Amino acid sequence: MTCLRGASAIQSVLEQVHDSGLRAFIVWEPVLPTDWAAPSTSTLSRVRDPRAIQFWDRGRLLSKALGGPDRFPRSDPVNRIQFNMHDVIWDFVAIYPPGTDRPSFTGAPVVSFSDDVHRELERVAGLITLPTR
Amino acid sequence: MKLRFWLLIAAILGLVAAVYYANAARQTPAGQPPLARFDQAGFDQQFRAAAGETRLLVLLSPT
Repeated sequence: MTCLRGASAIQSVLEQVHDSGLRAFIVWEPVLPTDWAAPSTSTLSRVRDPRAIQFWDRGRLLSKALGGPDRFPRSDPVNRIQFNMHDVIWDFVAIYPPGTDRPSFTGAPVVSFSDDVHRELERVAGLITLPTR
Repeated sequence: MKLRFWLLIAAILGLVAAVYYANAARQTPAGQPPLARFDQAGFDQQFRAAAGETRLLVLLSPT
């Protein structure tokens, strides 16, 4: 259920960030015992922004390709991971700035970090300047 | 006997509903491409093609 709220939170963020140079890759994957079918039309409609592309990853291949949860240690300041994902990366958001394959921000669960995602997207887009440490 | 019959009917209807739900068409919102079955090569290609843009990656459970 937090995933569905996370999807809605991502939609809210996208509504506030008007950067046309933004692509959202929404990857649905089976994690819970109730995840025995692809997301319904109703579920897909939670992220309705046209900059989004949605996938059904039945085999959880992306989580494996990313290296699993161990690839995003909670001790790293970039990673804002608040729960133990066990063996699959889920309820997770990452932001990749242009020209890099390293995320500048990751967070989980998604619903807890919508404000941070918004701030980071605007920072990356250069719409606002955050004070540097 | 009658109870068994109705339990069987309920089980069959449940099974039919489950199969229908699992195979029902899924539509993405207007303006988005259709829901894609994930394959790593295709995803990597699209992800790399957008490398000049900010990319937001989200992994979610559908329930």
